[in-house]
Amino acid sequence: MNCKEAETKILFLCEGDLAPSEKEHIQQHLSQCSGCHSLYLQLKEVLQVLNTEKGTEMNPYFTNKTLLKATNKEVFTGTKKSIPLFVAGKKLSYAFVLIVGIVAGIVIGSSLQADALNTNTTDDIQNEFFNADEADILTLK
Amino acid sequence: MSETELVQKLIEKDEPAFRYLIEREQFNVFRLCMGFLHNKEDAEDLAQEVFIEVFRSAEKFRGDSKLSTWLYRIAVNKCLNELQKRKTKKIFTSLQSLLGIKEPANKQSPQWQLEQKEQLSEISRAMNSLPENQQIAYTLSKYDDLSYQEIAEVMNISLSSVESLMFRAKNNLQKKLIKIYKEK
Repeated sequence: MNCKEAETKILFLCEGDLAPSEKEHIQQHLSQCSGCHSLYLQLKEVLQVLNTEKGTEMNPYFTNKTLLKATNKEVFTGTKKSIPLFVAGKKLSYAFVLIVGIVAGIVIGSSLQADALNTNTTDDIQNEFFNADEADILTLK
Repeated sequence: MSETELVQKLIEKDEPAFRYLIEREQFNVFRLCMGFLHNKEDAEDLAQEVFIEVFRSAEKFRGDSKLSTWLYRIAVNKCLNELQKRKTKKIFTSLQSLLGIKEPANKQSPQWQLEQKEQLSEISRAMNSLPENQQIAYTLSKYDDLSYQEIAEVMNISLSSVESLMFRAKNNLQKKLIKIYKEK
């Protein structure tokens, strides 16, 4: 067995999934190849970490904490499933602020546009007026 | 209490039945959540959410599988949703770091824990990068010690598909871990 082949079977060896003959072949290779042996040890160690993690102890008050959470979320008999008032109020207030913002934006935008148009119109009238004045003056002269 | 009685009581939102279910299944659900999240506090929080979800939607249980199988399905979905949320959060965190906004450093990192943490981070990274079905099958097998038949029931697939998923999961995990070690 060469290193390339061994690398496809190392994890299966760690997990105890290999047939006896395959196991023998790879073990023979590992005893001769320090690189593959090192990989084997690293994989074995990392899989051991999973086993340690699997054995993590739970909080002894898990049941009570879950029951308390369920009570707070009102999932037991006789409790309403509707959205709590303050949550609904909060959502409504967000929606209200958003709508007011959009409307205000439209109003301000349109009034600014109107102002701009008015300014332009006034400027045009003034220009025309002055131009007219100048023309009149020239004619009078 | 028989399974039918338990389900009926859960549908009636009976608190003692809920307590009984939690006490019976808590460790299985917690281990599964650990397998996906690799953090005790997060796993406990999610396991709580799983039980609340089960209790809320007990009437949706059709009885065509075991209650524990249904519970596992809910737990797997919750875990996958949580991982998805984390991926999105990670993108925002990367954006924050790009913008120069730093997260507060974790002060609890004693030297003796570092190696274990690093290994856990390597394996969890490798596991989380597996295709979804392979990750589910491997986690159910590794963390909850479910048989291939039980995994097939939870995932609603055939036994041969589970065998194939498990082989590919181990093969991919092996490639990813070897790549990590060779890059070191």
